[in-house]
Amino acid sequence: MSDGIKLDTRLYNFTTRCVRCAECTFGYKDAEFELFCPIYKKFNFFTYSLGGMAQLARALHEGRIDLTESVSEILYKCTSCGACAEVCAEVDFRDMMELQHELRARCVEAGQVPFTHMAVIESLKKDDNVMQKPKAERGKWAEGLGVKDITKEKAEVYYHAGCKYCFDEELWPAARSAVNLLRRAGIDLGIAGKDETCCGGHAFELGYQGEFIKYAENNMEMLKTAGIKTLVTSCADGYYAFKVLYDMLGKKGDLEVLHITEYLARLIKEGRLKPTKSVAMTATYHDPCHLGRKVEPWIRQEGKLKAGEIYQPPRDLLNSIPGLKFIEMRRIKENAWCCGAGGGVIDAYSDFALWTAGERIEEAKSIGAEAIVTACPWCKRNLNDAVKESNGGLKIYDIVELVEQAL
Amino acid sequence: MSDVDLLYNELLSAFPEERVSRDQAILTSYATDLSSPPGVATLPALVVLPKTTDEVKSLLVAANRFKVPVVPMSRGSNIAGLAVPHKGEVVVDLRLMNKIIEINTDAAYAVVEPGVTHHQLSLAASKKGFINHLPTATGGGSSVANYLMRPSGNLSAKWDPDPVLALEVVTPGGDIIRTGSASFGTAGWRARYGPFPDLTGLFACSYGTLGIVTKMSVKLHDRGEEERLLITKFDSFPPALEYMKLIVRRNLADSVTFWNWVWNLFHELMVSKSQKLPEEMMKEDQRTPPPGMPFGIASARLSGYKEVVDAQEKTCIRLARELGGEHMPQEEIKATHPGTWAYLNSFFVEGIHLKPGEESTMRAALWLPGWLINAEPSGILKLEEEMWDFARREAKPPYMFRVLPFNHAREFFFAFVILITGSLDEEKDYMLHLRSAYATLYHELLAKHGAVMFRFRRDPTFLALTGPYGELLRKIKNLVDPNNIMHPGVNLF
Amino acid sequence: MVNIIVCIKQVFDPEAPASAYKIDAEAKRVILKGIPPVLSPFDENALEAALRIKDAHDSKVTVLSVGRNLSKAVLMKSLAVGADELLLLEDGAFEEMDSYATAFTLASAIGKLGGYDLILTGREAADTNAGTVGSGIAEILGIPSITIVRKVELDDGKVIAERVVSDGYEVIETPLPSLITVSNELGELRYATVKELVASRNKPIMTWNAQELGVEPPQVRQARLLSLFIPQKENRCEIVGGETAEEMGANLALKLRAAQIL
Repeated sequence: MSDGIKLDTRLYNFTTRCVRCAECTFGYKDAEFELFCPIYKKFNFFTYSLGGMAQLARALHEGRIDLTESVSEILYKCTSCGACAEVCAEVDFRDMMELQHELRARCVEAGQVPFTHMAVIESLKKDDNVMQKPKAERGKWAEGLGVKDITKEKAEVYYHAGCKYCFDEELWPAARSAVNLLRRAGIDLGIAGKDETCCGGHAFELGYQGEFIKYAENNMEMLKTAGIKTLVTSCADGYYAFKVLYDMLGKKGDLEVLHITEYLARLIKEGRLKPTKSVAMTATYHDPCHLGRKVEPWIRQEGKLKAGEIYQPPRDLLNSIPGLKFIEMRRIKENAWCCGAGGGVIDAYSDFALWTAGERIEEAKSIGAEAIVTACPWCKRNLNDAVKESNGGLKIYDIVELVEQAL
Repeated sequence: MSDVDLLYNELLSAFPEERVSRDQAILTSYATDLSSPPGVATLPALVVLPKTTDEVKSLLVAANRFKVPVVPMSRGSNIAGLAVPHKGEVVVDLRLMNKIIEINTDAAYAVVEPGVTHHQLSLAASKKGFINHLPTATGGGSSVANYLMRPSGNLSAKWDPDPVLALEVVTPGGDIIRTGSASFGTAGWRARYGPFPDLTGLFACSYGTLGIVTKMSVKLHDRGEEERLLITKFDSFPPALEYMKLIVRRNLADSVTFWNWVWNLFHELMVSKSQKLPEEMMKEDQRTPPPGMPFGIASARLSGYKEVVDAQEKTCIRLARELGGEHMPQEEIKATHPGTWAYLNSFFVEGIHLKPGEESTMRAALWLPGWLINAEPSGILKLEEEMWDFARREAKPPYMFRVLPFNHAREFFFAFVILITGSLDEEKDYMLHLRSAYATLYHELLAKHGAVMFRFRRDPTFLALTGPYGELLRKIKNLVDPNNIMHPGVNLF
Repeated sequence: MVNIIVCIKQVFDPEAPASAYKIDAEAKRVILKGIPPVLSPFDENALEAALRIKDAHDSKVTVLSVGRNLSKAVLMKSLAVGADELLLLEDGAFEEMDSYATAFTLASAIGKLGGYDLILTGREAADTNAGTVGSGIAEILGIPSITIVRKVELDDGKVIAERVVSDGYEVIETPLPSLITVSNELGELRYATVKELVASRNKPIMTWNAQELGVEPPQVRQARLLSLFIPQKENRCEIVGGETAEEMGANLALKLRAAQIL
């Protein structure tokens, strides 16, 4: 039994003004009619779309349906990639994202969330990470690098590795490459090693807004104590959290937040890093949602927040690598097909996450790519798992690894 | 077990589980559309997603056996309750039937399924040098559904107003009927008419009450080597109407549409994506435009060989001048109304909606209760007067109108729209009031000016006005659908 | 077989950051956006106590919770970690009950279940911190109770408990059936793996409303909420001066004595 959900007037208006055109489910640039909403393409009912969820939210608000397990399941199957809001030009992107944030927060308050998410949050509370790994192992990725620890020494720039890079051993090389490259360019860099904590972004996206606030406050406190003005991260989710979510919360202050691809592209432009070695391959780039759509709207709309999508820097990086032939897929940038990992889907509905990644891999193969390069650990993990499942045929790289190979 | 339970069990053997649902959460999103007042909704009994004509057939046969009603639903904006359940029907969501079966460049037609959108068809046709009959509906609208409901077509003046050729229809009895040339297995899909009475026409404007259309062939038009948008401005409506009448009668343009000034401001709004109405739009006296704006503009699409288009353009400009209008060169309109230009050019020249969803931009930012009605040109002129009166009586600004001639001055139609900017909660009473005011108005306009509602508005008294025509239709309906399972909630019969 | 009943309250996560809490003073309501309901931490300790007994003795653990809008998903965690069944007392009438009404309702349900040997509760709930429901249940059922316990063991029909006191603990023995309120010193509740969480979906959950429970929940509340507010906290900082470290130390000691801390 639920007390029902009351939306604020702006969000409720949005739900009542959906005309059910379902354009939120497909891109418009290609006559091949490629649906670009993963849940709609997979599950087919109108319900599994922005429009369908708007009707559902409307019904929740009007008390025509309770927040049942099956409603919650629909809400949590969404990868939260934001492709829908790009096409639904009539709604403010914020409306769509906020509707989802609102509904998921209500799911959390009602205890109506996937079990797996509860386990993720429980472990987050205990071990400060979303990977369900012991806290003590957090600093292992950086062993032997000899990089400064900002909790002990002063450094100009702070590198936030993020939970995924810290605890997924296969991803360590990319984080280590990032540190190496930045130091090679002469950046005074520090990390927080075992004292780093989750950014809280994942908790926010799962609806655990209270938990998110806790991490935002802790992180900003730590950075303030260490006197950090610039943060760089390899984690796309982390970038979104620090840059957009912390700002929404009013906690970001004047912290400069950079994604590693932006920073590296800048360093190459300034001549501080020079890729010279050939990395021969035909590669395409997969745009992570957290570097694209999800950070873009805050600039596009009239909102106070200032973020910016990162579409060009990774492309500049790939084009700067000698020997690498960079080709584009059809669904790119604001119309990119999600890798499937986002919004907690990788935790709760891993089969669906893999299916979504499989679709992306097929697209990359169809244009003759030998490799998919991405700039998000979640995308890399999920695409990699999907490649393994489909018996290979394609390689998945983190963009930072390729840049290091080229130096 | 209830009839719905029995039907559900039967469908589970014909459909994979992931394409038939009775989960309340799934059903709920099919229950409401833009016309649903707050808190009012009827859940469908089931939702089914067929992929093939045979699946539609097995569904209808089963629904007919258990006498469970159905509502077909394709794509596009649902703003008038025509694709939502009213009596706990089964919703047949046709969106997975989205194949363009054929684009025949020899005879210039396409065969499409009901899930195919105008946008999808436009792009596919465009690649082969053709343009489809692109109406001022959303690009995400289903071509099959929109054409069958008679679209506000932009290619209506020079070409045949009705692009529909042959159909494939599944009836509740389980017959799969093909009409037009397709009725003969070997004749293909090219023609609407054969040696027998036209059955395609029977299904047009039947709103899913006679069967489910699973394929349709539609006419395509040659794009021509030159495609151009010609804008002329007018300070009042009568000369603009005369201009349009002459243009269509003398075959000078593919299409021509008149938009009053409020509508033009609205185009600016759509392209800007802003949800804030410009202040000029809210003025009390909507009959007089703000300073510097023409009362309205006529937009004409010209296409064909360059020399011919040049000559047509010259002639249209002369005609406008003789009637007191004035040509607006591209540079002028681009400078003064960039949004109007971008929208109309994309729409009428490129044949592609600026972005699917632009049309619904208007609807999302605002409520748009309105209608389309057709009459002879003299009647249309009177309609303008009537609508200013009605607006003074009933409407809060802004309200706006648009006029399109529908082929050789046989029918002109007049679209009237009131914009409502508040929330559904706040404006609910006003919306309900307007709905009943409109219902009365349709009858009045028919009696006084011979103006006929363009589409059926769920008013069961209307068919009765047609006398024996309506009776014959009822007999046909009883024959085709004796159990009245086809979309009974639409109240046509 | 030992029949154990653990009473668990569902509360909003007490570990949520203070800044996430808002008060609607007029409606006397706490607004908690994006804060999940959880098992009250001391009740988790009580469940752990039950599971430890189950580890050692053939036992059946029934978890009992009362309220309105109870989240099965949250309470099912108790099944995932090893409880055998869940009984939810759910009814609009069970909303915002005070300690007496809660104890009365829980005791009625326990009476109706019957056949219990040991009842465990947390020492107090994490939201109200009243700490009276456990003893209340024992009182209504007429059984002995031991409060604030850090260790529980069963021995031949008796329960031996270590009760926390300010300077150590007391060992208390009492016959079964009895009630024990458990403190955090007992230890944290064990983890449930995702696999166990999934498996727990097949364990039985019973739900009784007021009518099924067969009692009229007490209409007259013994406690009433008069107002709700966030207390203003004031921090004052004073730098204790002095020429030398010794002098500063002495000055600090004088200040502390003046404040009656030393």
